[in-house]
Amino acid sequence: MDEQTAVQRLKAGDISGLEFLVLHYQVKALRVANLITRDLSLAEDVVQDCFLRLIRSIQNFDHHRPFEPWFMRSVIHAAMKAAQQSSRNIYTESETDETWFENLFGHGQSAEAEVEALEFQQQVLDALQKLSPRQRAVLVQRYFLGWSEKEMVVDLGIAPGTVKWLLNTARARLRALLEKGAQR
Amino acid sequence: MNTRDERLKTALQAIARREVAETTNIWPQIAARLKQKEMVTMKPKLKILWTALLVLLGLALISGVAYALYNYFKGDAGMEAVSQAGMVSELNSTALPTPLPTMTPLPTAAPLGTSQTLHGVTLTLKWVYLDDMWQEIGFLVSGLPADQRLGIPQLSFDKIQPEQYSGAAMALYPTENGLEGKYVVHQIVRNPETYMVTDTRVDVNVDIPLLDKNDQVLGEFRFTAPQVLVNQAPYGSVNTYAVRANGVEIRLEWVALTPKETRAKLCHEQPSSGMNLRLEQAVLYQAQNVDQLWNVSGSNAQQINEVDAEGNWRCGEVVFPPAAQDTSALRLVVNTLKDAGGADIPGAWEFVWSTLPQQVAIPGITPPLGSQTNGEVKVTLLQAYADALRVAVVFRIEGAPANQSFDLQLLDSEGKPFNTSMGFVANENDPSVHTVSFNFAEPPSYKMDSDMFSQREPVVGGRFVGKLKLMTNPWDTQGGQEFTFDLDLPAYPSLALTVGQSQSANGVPMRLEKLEITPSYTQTYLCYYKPTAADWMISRDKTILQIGQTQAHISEYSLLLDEDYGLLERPEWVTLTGKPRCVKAGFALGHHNQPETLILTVGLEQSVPEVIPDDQIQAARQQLRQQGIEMDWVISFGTGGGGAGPKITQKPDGMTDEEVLKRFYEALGYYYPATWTFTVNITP
Repeated sequence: MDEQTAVQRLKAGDISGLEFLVLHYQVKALRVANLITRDLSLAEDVVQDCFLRLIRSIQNFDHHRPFEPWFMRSVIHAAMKAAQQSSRNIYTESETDETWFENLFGHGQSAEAEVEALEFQQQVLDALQKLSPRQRAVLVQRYFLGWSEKEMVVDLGIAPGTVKWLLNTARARLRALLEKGAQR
Repeated sequence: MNTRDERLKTALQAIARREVAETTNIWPQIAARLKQKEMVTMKPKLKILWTALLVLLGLALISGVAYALYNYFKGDAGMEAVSQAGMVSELNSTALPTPLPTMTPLPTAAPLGTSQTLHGVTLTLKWVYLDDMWQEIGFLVSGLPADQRLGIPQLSFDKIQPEQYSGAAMALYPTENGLEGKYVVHQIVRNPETYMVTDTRVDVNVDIPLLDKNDQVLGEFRFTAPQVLVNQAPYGSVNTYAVRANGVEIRLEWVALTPKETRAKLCHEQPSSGMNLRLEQAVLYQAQNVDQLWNVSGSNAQQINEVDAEGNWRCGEVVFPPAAQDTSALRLVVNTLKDAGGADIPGAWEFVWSTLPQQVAIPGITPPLGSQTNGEVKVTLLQAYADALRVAVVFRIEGAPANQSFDLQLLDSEGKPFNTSMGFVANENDPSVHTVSFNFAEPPSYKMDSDMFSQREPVVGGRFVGKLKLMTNPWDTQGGQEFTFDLDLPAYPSLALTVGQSQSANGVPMRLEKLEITPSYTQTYLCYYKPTAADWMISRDKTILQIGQTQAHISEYSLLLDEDYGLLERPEWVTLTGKPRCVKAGFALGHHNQPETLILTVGLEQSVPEVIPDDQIQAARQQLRQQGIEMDWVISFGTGGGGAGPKITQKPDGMTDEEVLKRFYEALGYYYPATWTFTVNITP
C-alpha cells in the first residue's frame, strides 16, 4: 500500500488506510506535538486524537495536495491548543540584545566540540520550555518541519506578514531565553 | 536557511529524536480507542464546503409537520419538485413512475406470456430482455415430474449472430405456481452492419429442451419473440468464463441452479502432446455474496458425465448438491485433470461467478428489493430517484440502537463505489427515516482513485443501474451489518448549456462558462480572478440560484482550477486567460420541461484563515460593538483538525449567531463588496 491508496481506503471507510497513515506519520507527528507541548504524554494524546479525527476529516482532504503538511497542520494546532490549556507551561516576556544571539549562532560552523553542541541543545530545550505554544509552533514549522515562509502562508492560510511577524516574535523570544540560559 | 537557522534546526531535530524514539508505535492505542469510540454517522465522499446535508437539515427545521410526514425531500427544492412531479420511484410498489414526456423512455422487457405444453409440462415464456452484452428470459414451468428436467435454453436471433459467448446461467425457484425460471446468457448482440445497438430490433427464438432422467431430449419448447429492442448494457458480466493453467484451458460453459441440484458444464482442451485428459474432480463454493466465497465450505462434485466432444475439446456436466435459495455468487475450482494413465495433471482452474440470473434486474419486470433484514436490523427502501447528476434514496432503519452509526455508498453493478459527494438527513418527524442524496463527480483520473472508484458512466440508456450499500458500525473492526439493495431506476437526462456570459463587478471579471441542469439539480461552472491572493471562494450566503420562483443556496462546491493551489490542469471549457480560479458550484434545484429563466447571483467570500491577526480582530470587534454585539474570537477544535470560532456574549434580541458571525466576517472584509448576476433562458 502507498500513501495515496491509504488515503483512498480511509475515504472509503477502510480502517487499514488509517493504520498505514499512523505507522507512516506517527513518529514525526509525535515529535512535532512533543516539541510544542513539551509533555510527551500530552503529545501522545494529541496525536492519537488527530489520527482518530482523520476518519472523518479525510473526506475534506484534497488529494491533489500532499498529505503530510495537511495532517501536520492539524497536529500543530491540536498541540498548540493542548499546550495552551495545560497549566504546566510558564511563559515570561522579556526582550534582550540581539548581539548575543547573533554571536551564538554565528560561530555555529566553527570547530565546536560535541559537548558544545549538546550544551546548545540543552539551552534550546530550556528556552523552548519557556516559549508560548504558538511561538514553539512556528519554530517547529519553520525549523523542524522545514516549511518555507511561503509554504507556511499557503498551508496556514495566513498572510505573509503575519507569518513573518510570528516568526520574528518567536525568534526574538528564543534569543532572549537563550541569552538568559547562557548567563546562568 | 542561514547558518544559525541550520544550527537551530539541527538542535530541534536532535531534541525530537532524543525524546521520541524512532520505534514508537501508538497504533495499538488508536485501534483500541477505535473499538471503544462510538463513531459518528456519516462520511461525506468529497470535499463539500456546504453540503446538501446542511441545506436539507437547515430547512427541514422549518418544515410543516403534516407535509413532512410524506415529503421526505423537504428542504431540497430540486427533490421536492421531482417528487411532486411523480418522478420518484415508490419502492414499496413494483410500478415505476411514468417519465415526463421529454424524458428518455425506459427500456423494457418484451412481455410475452405465451405458453406451450409438452408431455404434461407447461412452460410459459413471460418476457425477453435484450441488452447488447447480455440477454435474459423469464419463464414459468409447471407439471415437471421429478425425473425430468429442463435443459439449458438456447437463444437465436434473426440476421444477428451473437459474438463472444462468455457463459450462461439458469436459475429455477419454487413458487406457488410452479418453478420460476430465469436464464441469462452473456454474449454480444449488435447490428452486424453498424456494430451499434441504437434502434436495433430483432426477432428472438427461444428453445428450451425437456429432458428425461437419462438426459434424452423428450421435446423442445420453442417460442419466437418478434422485434425485441436491443438496449445498451449498463453493466456486463464479471463471471470467469475461461481459465488457462499449465497449457490447458478449461471453460465454464453454463451453470444451472435448481431445487434439486447445481449443474455445470465444463469443457477442457486436450493438450497437443496427445495426452487424453479427463475431468474427474471439481469443488463448488456457493454464497450470498462474492466476499464470502472464500470462507464457506465447498461441495465436491457428486457426478461427472461426459457429454460431448468437439475437435480438441472434451466436455462434461458436473452435478453438485443444490444451492441455497439466496445464493448469489459461486466459485468453481478444478485442481487436477487425470491423464489416461491415472496421473494427476495439477492446475488451478478457478471460476468466480457473481452475475447470476436472480441478480440481474430487468426494468419493468424485477420488482425492486424493498426490504432486508440482518439480525435485528431491518432496512426498507421507500423511494428512489435518479438523474444524470444525482441519485436520491429514502430509506427506513428499524431495530437499530439509538445513535446507530452507519455509512452509505452508491455502487455500480459490480460493487465498485461511484465517485460521489453525499448529503444526508434524518426525517424530523420520523427519525427512522433517512434521505440521502449522492451527487456524481467525475470519475477520478488518478490511478489509485480509479482502482477505488467506478469508471463507469452512472447513467446509460436512460437508466441508473447500481447498488445502495448500507453498513452499520462502519468503523468497528469486528464489522457491522451490511445491506445491499439493487437499484434500477429511470434516470432523467441533463440539459447542458454553454453559456459563456461575462460580468464584471467592482473591478473583478467573472464568467459563467456553462450549466448542466436536471429536473432536480443544477451544476454551474464559473471562472473568475481572485480579487487578492487570499482564498476567495463562492460565498454561500451571497450566492443564490433562482429558477422560476424557487431559490436555492449552494449545496456543493469544488475547486477545479487554481494554479496557486496546485490545480494546474486547465479544463478545455475555460476561456479566461491568465490565472483564473474556476469552480463548480451545485444547487439542489433543477428545471422542468417548461421554458424558464435562470438567475444566478454570485458573491465571493474569503476563507477564514487559521490565524486572524489580533489587530484585525480588535477592529472588527469595535465595529460590532457599535451594532450591540460583543464577541470574542477563540480557537476551537472540531472535526477536521482545528479552527477557530466566535464566543458571543451579547447580541441584539432576535439576532442569530449565524448573523453575528456573518457581520463579523463582513467587518473583517471577508465578503467581497460586489455581486455578479447571470441571467440564462432555459429552453428544454
